[in-house]
Amino acid sequence: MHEAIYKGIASKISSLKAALIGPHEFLNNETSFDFDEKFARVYVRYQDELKKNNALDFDDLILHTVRLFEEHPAALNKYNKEISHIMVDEFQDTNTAQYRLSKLLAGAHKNLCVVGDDDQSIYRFRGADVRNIMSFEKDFSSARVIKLEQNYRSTQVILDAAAGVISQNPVRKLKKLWTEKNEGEKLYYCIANSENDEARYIAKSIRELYLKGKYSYSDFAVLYRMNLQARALEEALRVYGMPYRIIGGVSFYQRREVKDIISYLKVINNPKDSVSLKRIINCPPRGIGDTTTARIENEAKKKNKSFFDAMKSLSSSSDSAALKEKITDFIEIIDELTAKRGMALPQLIRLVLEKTGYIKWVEKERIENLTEIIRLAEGMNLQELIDTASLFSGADERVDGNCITLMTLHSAKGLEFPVVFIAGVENGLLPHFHAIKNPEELHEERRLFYVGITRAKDILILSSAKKRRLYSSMQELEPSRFLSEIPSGCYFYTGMMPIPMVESVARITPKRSRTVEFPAPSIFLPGVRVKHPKWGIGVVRDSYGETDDVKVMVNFSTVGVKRLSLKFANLERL
Amino acid sequence: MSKNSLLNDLNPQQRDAVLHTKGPLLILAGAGSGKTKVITYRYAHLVSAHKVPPASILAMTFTNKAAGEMRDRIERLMNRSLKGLWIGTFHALSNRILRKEIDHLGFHRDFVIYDDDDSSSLVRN
Repeated sequence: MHEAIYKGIASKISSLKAALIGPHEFLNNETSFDFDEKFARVYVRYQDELKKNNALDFDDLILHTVRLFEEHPAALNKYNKEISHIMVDEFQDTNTAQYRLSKLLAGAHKNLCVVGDDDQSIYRFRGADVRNIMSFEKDFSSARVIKLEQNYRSTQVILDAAAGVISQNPVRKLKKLWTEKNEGEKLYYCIANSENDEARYIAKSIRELYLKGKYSYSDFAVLYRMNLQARALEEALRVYGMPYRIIGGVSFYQRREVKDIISYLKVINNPKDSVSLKRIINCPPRGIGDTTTARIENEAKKKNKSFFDAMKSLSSSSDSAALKEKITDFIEIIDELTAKRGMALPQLIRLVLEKTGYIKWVEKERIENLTEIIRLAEGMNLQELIDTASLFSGADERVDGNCITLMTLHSAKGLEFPVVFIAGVENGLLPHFHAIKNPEELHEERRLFYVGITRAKDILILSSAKKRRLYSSMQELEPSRFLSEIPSGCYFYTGMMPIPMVESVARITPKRSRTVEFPAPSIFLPGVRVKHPKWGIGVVRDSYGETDDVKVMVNFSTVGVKRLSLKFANLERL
Repeated sequence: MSKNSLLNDLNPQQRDAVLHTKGPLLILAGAGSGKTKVITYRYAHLVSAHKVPPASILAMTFTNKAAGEMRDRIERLMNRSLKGLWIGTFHALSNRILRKEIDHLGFHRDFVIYDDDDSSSLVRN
């Protein structure tokens, strides 16, 4: 609960910094009607604390570089002389600070080449401003604009589906993607009863496609809006015994034991770093609990000292002998290690692990990752390893080996796979609940769907569940409004039939009509009760087929299961 | 790699983008349109045809992974090592500048970088 509040404050600070609004700029803006004085105080204090710790957060790296260049022209001048050409990739994801930095670096020569796609801008929540693409031509009136529209990845049907969706966004730089590739297989769309059925359907389809021998496991990706969707998918893949890997879980540098050891190294490198110091002060346990930590904290605040210096002064002045002893032991260890910070890094890490007792204390299964750190440290110096760890992010995780990839739509950007599943194409998930009433957010969700669609080279399978556990309660969900934006000739209802079994049916020449209508069979989904003029009342078991020729399987109490064409059957929904 | 074979691999729009080397340029790159190829070829072209030293070209992106791939592809294309040059993420390149210059702002050059968890725990205090 509280954790969420701190995270919320941290993320508010982050977006202010992304917009180049430091604490002083924020305070100067206090006339604005929604000025939050309490937050302003936190922001100022936060920034002061960072400075006291000689620390920068992620956003500061950019913010301070911009400040440096704006306030110290000589420094900028040096880099302007050194660097004659700038290229910026993924320009649509830049925030205000990053764009400003690019402009500063481009200096007088203006040899600034930015590459981006406004249709793939999906990091608004992190401060990315798609308007930077729109502003570029205004900021640089002599700018040349070149469009790259030939697509080397996807089939024509996939591009048509993508175009149908993205064309619903009102403000965009118009691009028309085309390919020399074949028309290709239609998209598939499956509506399942529950998230577990959906997951089983996906697993079964992957298995069938895999068994046909054309694809290896690494050719498959399952994409979703929210990390929590991975659970059901994982379970289904495990049942079928297929290898998979989830991107965006806990990354190597975020693992507890790795963070612990990096924190030790950070403290050795910079004893002022109180955040890292507090992480390791009682790890492994040395009897320095919350009470002691609070006492040190108080001392630090009172005397305006760093946490480590406050420890040192307590170790000589405190009247409690037990406290003194505990702290003194710890200080001695840190001092001893700090004195050796110049030694070869792998040896230094081994020394840290032994002297601190960490290696004896940590669980056996975690030692492997510590060995890995020692291996990575080969040839690096202390600062380099700390920076590598600090600058690493979940998006950097590599996919190795022959396994199916599970990840969020956000993580999928820039990647491609022969076969792509997008799971949970439902109102509430994609678009996400929070976006439904806000047009800007809705456009962003649409771009996210567009990014997902355009990851697929050959086959794209969309699916949704009618029921799903979300936020600890069971939700009933409708198929996504975005589905109706896909030209109806582009996709095929699979029912619950796994993909390769319907493949041949889907290969008939697609009719590419542009009707925008809600998927028809949604009203005759499995489970729906219907009435037939001759056979009376029955329950729909399955529905599949072309959008204009949907077949349903109905179980009638009078005659058993019948396969009917929706067009001719005169079914009435009850 | 010769100049011409470099350009022959590209479609007309990609070639335009590679050949435009002076002044501001906006490349609107649709999904799957060979964006990374254009960036890497443009880099190689600047070096081979315009004799721009690699140390004078800065290429920025968002993830270490993307930056690493960019560097690998340029290295393969040019058949030379590009270690220690200005190819990296926004954060890594800014870090590199600040490690040399941050004393102007009253910090020490051995500053630490806090990740999101560290920042949250600082807010808590």
